Amino acid sequence: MTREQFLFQLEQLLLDLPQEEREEALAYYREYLSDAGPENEAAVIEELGTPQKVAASIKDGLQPGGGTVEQPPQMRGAVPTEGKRAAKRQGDSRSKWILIILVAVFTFPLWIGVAGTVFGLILAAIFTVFGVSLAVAVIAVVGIIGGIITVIVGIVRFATGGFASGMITAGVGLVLVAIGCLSTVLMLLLFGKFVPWLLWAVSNLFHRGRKKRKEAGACE
Amino acid sequence: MVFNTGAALLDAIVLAVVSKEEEGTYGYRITQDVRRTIDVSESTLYPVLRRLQKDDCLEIYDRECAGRNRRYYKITETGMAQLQLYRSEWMDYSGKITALFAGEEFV
Repeated sequence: MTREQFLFQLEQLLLDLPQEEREEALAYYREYLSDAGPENEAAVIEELGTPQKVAASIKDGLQPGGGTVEQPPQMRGAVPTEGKRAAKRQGDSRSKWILIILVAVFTFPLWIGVAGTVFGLILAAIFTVFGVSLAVAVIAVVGIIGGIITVIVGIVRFATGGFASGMITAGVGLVLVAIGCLSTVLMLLLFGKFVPWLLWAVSNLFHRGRKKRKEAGACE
Repeated sequence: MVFNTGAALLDAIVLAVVSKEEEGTYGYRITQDVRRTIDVSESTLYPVLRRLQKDDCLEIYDRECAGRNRRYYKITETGMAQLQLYRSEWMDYSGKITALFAGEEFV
């Protein structure tokens, strides 16, 4: 292989490196072959081996920790530093999970009680909202219908001579209608805005909690 | 050669070779000098030189030479300090092994 062929192939093999690294490496080897001199050039190219081998040594050297080192032909027993470090990293995260599980098991009575209380509170809140909504709805219906009936009764009484009681009855009836209307408005607010908002907030809480847990699991 | 040369020892050898030249030397010369001491392939040293440069143990400068560029490597203060460290570590390390092989009692 000629010098230009060698350098060209080496450049192709280093295309996946950042530009600076690639140019530094190519400049080094271009100079190296020039410094070897025309007489030694062929021998040096042969000694360097294939462009693949040289590219591999360059990329390997860029690994953190200096990559693997030259092994003489006889002794291949040593473990390259990279493997050891990667294995240690895996071991650390696995023992962390074991520790977490152990802690969870041992504190079970504590967190099951807390979880139960929280769950109970959530149920209570849901039923309160439900109950209040129901009450409001009932008041709305009863208020309006009952109120109208009372007004009619009042008018009838008024018409049949009982002016005072008629007026009072009609007045009460009107008040009942007013309360019923207010209740209706409240009910519309509740069902139109508040309850959907509550549902959205609760579902948000759940989704965020699930997402957080999923992220923590994925980033090991 | 029977024993493999770890990354640290390789760094130490390269630093020692470069430190011999007050004005620094260039890649081809460094490789030839190192190969007088240990048997490494000619592609071994570039990653070492690059790393030492990034770690601030070697500094580089370019010199025009016969119409082309030549990059020189020179040892830095940090590099000298690191070399001293390696030197004392080596005295300790090799001393113990030498004593063991010579059949002496454990030091």
